[in-house]
Amino acid sequence: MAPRSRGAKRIADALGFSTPKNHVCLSCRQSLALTRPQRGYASAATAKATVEAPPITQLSPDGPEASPVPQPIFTIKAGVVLSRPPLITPDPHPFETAYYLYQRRLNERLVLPFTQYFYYKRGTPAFEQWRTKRQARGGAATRDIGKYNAYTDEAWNDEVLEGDETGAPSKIVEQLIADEGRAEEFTGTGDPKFAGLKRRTEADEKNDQRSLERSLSRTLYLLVKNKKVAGQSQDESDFWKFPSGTIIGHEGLKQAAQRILFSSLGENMNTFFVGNHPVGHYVARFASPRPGPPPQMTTETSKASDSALLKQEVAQQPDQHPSLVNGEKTFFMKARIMAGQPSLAASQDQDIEDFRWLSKDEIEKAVHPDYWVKVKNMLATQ
Amino acid sequence: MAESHLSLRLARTWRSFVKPSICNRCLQTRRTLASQASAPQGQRDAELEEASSLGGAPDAGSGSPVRDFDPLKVPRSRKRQLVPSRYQFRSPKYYRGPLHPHQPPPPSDPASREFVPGPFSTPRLEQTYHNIIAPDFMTMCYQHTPPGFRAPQKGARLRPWIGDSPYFRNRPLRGPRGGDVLRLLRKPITFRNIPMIERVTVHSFVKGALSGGSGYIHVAGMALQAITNHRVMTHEARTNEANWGIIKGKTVSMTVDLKGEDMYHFLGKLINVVLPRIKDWNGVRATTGDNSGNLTFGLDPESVATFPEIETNYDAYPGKMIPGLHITIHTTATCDKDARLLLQQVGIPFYGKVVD
Repeated sequence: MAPRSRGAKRIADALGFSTPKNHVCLSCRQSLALTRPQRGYASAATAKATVEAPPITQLSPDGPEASPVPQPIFTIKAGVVLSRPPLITPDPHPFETAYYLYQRRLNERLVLPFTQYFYYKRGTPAFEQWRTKRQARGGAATRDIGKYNAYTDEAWNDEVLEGDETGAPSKIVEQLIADEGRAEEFTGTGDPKFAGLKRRTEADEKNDQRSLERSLSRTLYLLVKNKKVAGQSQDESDFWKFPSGTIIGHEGLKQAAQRILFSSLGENMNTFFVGNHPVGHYVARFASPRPGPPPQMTTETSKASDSALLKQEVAQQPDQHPSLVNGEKTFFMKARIMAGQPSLAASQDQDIEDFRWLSKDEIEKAVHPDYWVKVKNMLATQ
Repeated sequence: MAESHLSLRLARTWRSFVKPSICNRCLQTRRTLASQASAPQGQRDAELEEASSLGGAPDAGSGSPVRDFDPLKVPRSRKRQLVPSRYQFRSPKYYRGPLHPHQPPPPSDPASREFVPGPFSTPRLEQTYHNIIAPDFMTMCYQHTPPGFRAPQKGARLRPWIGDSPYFRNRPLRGPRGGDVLRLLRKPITFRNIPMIERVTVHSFVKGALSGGSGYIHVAGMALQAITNHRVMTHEARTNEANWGIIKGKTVSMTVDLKGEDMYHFLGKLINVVLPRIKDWNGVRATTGDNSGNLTFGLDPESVATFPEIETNYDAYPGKMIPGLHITIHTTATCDKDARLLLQQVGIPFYGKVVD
């Protein structure tokens, strides 16, 4: 649908020509128009004869004659969805573990035997060591299938019993490290059983939500807590949001997002903005119009349109251009953090009280349900 | 006809009176939070079990029959062996048609002769692709169009033969202007067609085998098998080529085609272990590619020797016999630019002039 006809529809809506009871939303109507069933030849011919609105082939802003009906005014804001991608693979589901172990044991029964003399020369210490370890494993060449020999009469007994931890990844890692026998060289302060490797960190134990070392297998997103605004009834969940701020002048979304991130949370972050397009948006309509930032103005006559007013006009008639806004639209830019941390001390923005790194599940609990519905689809599940 | 239309319209109006705010079509397709919450409480599926069998039996204590079950107890106590003809299933060796009473089991059945076990793990690179790379790729390649946008129609790429000549009738269409090659079309990237790595071909041309005997072939085969976890396919020269010393019918090269789990493990080793250890390596030359999203690069024998499988057992391979490799990464991208972007995200650097 062309913007112009959309404007006409708005007028019709405002004047009450279209009944709200037969309401079909805009996106549905478009897809219905695309999938309209085939009609008879006669009606098709008449449809061909009527002049269709020309398709839009490039972005064209509404001209000054677009619509006389007062449109709600929104503040345009840029938001930043700053995330830390998962650092380790997730814990496998118990079914996954059991399935993989079963498949590995089936494989052991079907593949050609391990060519041990290619890897261990007969009579060398390495060969003797290999042989003793193999015997301890019940004769299996591979180290990740537990005590199982595929070449005996009881090889059919390849399923692990209830409570057996043979296939668990932690068990396999533990065995490999014990097999190597050099854990002390690599273990710092951690557990020598896992050579100091950890899947849960101190921040996990303390549930330190400001730390980036927490929940290593999940994507963590940066949320900030805004201060309470005087004179508005706000719930606790209203405060937690992605960092965002109003766009100033002619800057683009990405530029604005970068400025907002650094000015509100300090420059001690190495970030990378993914793409130049927003990944989601959130529209908030205020219950009553609020005074917003001064309208965008320009002195160039060529650039003047509805959105950017002429400075001269505003100066002549200040009461004609009240700076009241009906709501705000936030467009979210996707970004990744490589290093660093936000700091509240370096913040130039006085509105921010606190920040947290939260996974998707935790965000759901922290933010307002309306905000969550708009925001959830741009967050990664893992 | 008209009456039914009227009644339909009436019914629709009545429905919209009852639920005025939501579009009917949306109601069918979209699930709201309320409907999600109410659905499971309404009725339970009788066939679904309440508890998971994986969580363990409720009374799985130390003395319970679940814990103490010994699968070997009964077979060991048996005095005589079971009759193999009755208790051992053997899949028929040949498929004798759909009407034969003895049908082989499907290949996914472990009893089938065609059964291939696997997969054995979920590779880290695969998980990274699904969690990080694919969403980022879509964000980077997103192109916005206003609602109602219709892309301008392009003419057909294959042109008809226009003219009075009788030979033009039923003649196959002409190729595009400027060449007979029909390039792949690049469609806008959506969540359905994010490029991914489809398969990897590892190829090795064994030059030493031309003059030095078959030993080179055997060593190259073992090395390739060790690093790819697959048997190699050998290839014979198809023609005589005196300048290169190639004799028709002699084995000169070998390839391995990798897919799925093995492919991801191979790429993981390559990107995380082998490539970072190459001295003075700039990256893959950016001019590589066949214009349809398949990129190739080479590794010299010294780099191949740094694959962990070969490095741990380096002495087993005769000196100077480890082969160099050509690695072709086939992606589902339809142009080289997208494929390069994907591989850069995966961790393969590119250098030099870019040609698109």
